[in-house]
Amino acid sequence: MGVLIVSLTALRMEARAQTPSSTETRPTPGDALVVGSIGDASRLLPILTTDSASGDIVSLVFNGLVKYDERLAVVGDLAESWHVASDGLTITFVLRRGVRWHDGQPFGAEDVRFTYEKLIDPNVKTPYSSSYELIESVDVLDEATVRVRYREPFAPALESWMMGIMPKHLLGQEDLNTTRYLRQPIGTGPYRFVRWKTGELINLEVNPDYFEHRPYLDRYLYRIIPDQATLFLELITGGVDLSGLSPLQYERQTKTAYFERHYQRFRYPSFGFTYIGYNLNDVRFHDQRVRQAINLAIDKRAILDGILFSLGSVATGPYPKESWAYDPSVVPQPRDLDQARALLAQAGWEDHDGDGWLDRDGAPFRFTLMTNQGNEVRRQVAELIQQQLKEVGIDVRIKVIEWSTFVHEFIDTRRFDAVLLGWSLSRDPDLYDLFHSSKTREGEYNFVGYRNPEVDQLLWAGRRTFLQHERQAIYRRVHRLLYEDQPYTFLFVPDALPVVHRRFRNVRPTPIGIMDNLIEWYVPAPEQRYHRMAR
Amino acid sequence: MNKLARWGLLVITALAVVAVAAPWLSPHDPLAVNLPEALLPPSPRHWLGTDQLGRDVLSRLIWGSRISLSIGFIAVGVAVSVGTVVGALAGYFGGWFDSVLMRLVDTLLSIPTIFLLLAIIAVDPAERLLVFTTYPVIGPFTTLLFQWIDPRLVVLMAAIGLMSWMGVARLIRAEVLSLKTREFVLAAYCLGASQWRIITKHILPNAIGPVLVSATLGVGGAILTESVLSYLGLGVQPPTPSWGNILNEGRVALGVAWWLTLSPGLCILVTVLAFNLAGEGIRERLLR
Amino acid sequence: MTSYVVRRLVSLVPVLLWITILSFGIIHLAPGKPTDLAMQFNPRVSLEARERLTRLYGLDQPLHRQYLDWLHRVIRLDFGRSFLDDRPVIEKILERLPVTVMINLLSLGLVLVIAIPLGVLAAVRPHSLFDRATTVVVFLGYSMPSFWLALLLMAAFSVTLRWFPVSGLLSLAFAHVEFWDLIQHPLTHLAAWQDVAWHLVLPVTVTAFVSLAGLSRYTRSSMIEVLKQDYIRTARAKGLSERHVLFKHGLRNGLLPILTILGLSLPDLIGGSVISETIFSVPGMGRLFYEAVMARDYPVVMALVTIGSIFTMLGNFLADLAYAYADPRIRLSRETSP
Repeated sequence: MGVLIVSLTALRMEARAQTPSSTETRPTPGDALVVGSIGDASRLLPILTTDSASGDIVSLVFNGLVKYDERLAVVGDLAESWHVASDGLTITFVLRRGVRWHDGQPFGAEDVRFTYEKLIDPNVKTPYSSSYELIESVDVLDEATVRVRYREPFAPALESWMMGIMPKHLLGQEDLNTTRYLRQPIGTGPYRFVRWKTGELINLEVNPDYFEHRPYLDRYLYRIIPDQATLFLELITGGVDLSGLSPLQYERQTKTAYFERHYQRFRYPSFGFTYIGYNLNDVRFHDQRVRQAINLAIDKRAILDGILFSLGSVATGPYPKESWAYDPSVVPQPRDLDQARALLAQAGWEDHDGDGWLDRDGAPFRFTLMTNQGNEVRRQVAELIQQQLKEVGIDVRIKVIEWSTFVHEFIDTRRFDAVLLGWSLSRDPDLYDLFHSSKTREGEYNFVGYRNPEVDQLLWAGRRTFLQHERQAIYRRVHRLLYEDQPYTFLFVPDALPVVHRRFRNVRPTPIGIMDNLIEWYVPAPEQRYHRMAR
Repeated sequence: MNKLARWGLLVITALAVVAVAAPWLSPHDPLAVNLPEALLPPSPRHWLGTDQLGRDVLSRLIWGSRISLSIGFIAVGVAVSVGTVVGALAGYFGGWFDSVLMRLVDTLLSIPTIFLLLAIIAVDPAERLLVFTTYPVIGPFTTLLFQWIDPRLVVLMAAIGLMSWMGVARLIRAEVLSLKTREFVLAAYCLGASQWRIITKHILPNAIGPVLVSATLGVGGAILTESVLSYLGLGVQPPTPSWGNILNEGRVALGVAWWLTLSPGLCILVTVLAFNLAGEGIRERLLR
Repeated sequence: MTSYVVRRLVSLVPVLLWITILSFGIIHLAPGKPTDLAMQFNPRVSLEARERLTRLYGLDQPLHRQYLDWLHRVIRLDFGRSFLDDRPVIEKILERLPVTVMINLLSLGLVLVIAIPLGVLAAVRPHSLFDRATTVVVFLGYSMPSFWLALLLMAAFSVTLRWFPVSGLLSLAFAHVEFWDLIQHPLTHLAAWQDVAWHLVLPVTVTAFVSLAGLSRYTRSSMIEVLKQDYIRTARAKGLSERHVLFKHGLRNGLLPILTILGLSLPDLIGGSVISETIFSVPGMGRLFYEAVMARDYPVVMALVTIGSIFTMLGNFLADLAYAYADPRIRLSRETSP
């Protein structure tokens, strides 16, 4: 019984190598990064954050035990190292020493156990408990060692320990649902909380004692600008240093000389995909040939090029190309209207009455494609799909619905024909919740009703082994099966399109984004804009 | 009638003509997606340019006039119908009936309008409306209606109308109250005319004045409300063009395609201005 | 007079109750639940977690129980906690109220200063070129979508001309200043006040421009009515100067109805335009309300509707009162009739 070092990663204890790309000067401390966000945060404790704005702030104020590096390998954050036992049931974390909370108190194993206790506490309004329910116990072996024992092997467990660790000495006596620390977080991260002006601004300042090294940027200012158009205007007038662009803005509005001179644009694939989900209990979509026909009839390349200005890639499955679970032998089929019509005819759909629409038993092939309000790109994609399917004789109606209504009235109740949505996924390729046949109850995420025993078996097995090569084989097979079965028509993986002011150096795009090395960013002294801001 | 009001009426008439003649006036198909020609500035081929999906803006505006005007008229129609009935009954019969109705009116007036609208629209009873097609008498009519207009649009229009009937009710009630005591009404009563006849033949025609003003102004208001709803994402569904949703879609492309913002905005501006001026003109006429 | 006031006030209570019941019903019957937004369709959030949250929010209770619970607390002035972030609703409202009130007061001030003179001057010379020109200009504001105007102004003055900041309340140099500080210690934050003023120029302009039409037209018609009266003719016949006639006699009577308008606009003081606030990134009451409705944040919605309704009814009441007081016929008749 040896101890298996997790083969997902090589432990990296050496300091990060300085990227030689843009260091004309030595990094100098100072200046502030102003980020624009559409939404405001709501709760700044890691186990309670559900919206992306809260998530952004929490990721800077707190650390998890582990994190992803730019090559999507799991590396240590608050944990220096860890061992997974050969039976896959125990993970032992060795914590870094000398880490302090922002209030000066030392961080230790007790904080890890405390965080776990709160995650499974039924009175705490945390939505993340399910990843921790397979844990049998979390034991503090000493102040820098924590042993986590699982009831069953659970490969996504490592990723679940990227959850921010909370301070027991401050929160131990608090009701986490209503504590003031929700709005004044104390963590171990590179930035410390200063102030939150609700609806306006969240102000973070540098943590000079951060355990990796003191970040160079003195301040991180999160400005809340709820309107897309206004956000862009703020960007071009210098009110905001960093923002995500829409494909239209990236392609058409930022190619001016002024923009080139003042901003750097980045582009990298996001970790998610846009898809059409079919209600598999609907008699029309139950037939695999119909779904495959629609897949052949939709020109995804045209969608990508026309609406996203080619800023993304065509998807064939739930994994982006960069994921190790992606099966490169699954190749997207080009648009083939004849083959599509043939498949539909096999399923009984032909234009019997000559009105231009396919019909079967006297009823025309007409369905409603629903999508959520607030997403311009998705709306345009829906309209293009409507046009494309018209060419093969299918009448698509579009319905744009406000999010809460959408989820509650249509998705949860399964009262839909097809939906146009996107998933934003974690890096771990476990898709149990999306495609396992047991996850079809109301409110669960296999709302299309997909049932494939082979996929079920694969998804179950993928969770239980920690061996990278085994998991890879499993998930690649899942990818292929999903493409053949078409419970979704996978459309595309959009690129993330962030733009940053030029004065920031060391900014580089990686598969996990551009912010992962935020602590390395700096602005040369003569170019710094914000000096000595008051607290 | 004063010059401004006359100008207003002229514009309204022109607009009505455009709306009716849309299929013949519109140079392109407003729904024809044509990606290679997306975001083109105004040119001889596309007088007002194209949008993000390559559709001709001018055609969409022309067809959009149908939607915007229908919304205006139907919303006002609903508001005036409901308001007149409620106001007339309350004013004529008075007593506790009046108090109850006016209580209801006050209550509804105090609820923020956006809220009422959101609630009505979020409920999305369009599907449930389809139930009406199965009813015996009104079935065929509703079927025809829903073939001509998308039920969701009907809901939208009715919702906007249901927000504003309260003001009409108050107006009518005030007029009815004052007319009730006039001699010609008393004369009709003495001559043995029935209540119904008195209300419809004598009182209402004289109360029409302020209602007409309010209706004219209401159309403008309904068109503006539609544009606000489109901004919030609750307006007319794609791909049907309405001035409000063309304006909203163009908003994000302001830096790239100014024509997408300027033209629908101007259409709304000119139209609502025309209705407002016309309404003012009618009001002036009545006061004389 | 006092009995009239008391009777009116008492009659408002059942209306208020009905408003709350109706609002409660509407917001609960609208589809969707508060937990939907919170979950944001995150696959890591399980069904069990959602159910647990539903219970914690008390959403599994029957509707009438939920309403009575709410009423019980509201009577003791406890508006509960927001579902979005568990903060006391009162806190959330109080932090947004000053900004909204300030914008509305400034806008109202601007409107009064512009609309009344315009209305009076137009009334003095009805149907003249001046009258028609001002009518068109004033109606322009009333006839355009406010967000369109906001965008155009922003594009012209903030982006192209760089005269004003694009959005927000304060520049980053004042990131440490809280709005309540500004109000409580105005003198120590003069520079910050100047910054705020600069940020509010465009939002206030948009808000004011849209409401200009109402007040100026009303003033105009009211003044025209007054100027037709016999006593004006008498004053002129007596040989008084036109200015004297206008200011001493005309305005005093013509502007009285303005009071009723002001009373009716009381609820508008605390109401914000969600569109204007969104475009200019102002954290005000409009956005609070809209976001609460979209997220089904029942406690916040109910609180805002209740407070808003109270203000509306108060405003109506004050307007009626002002009118009754101003018109001696009504005032006196009330005292004499049973």
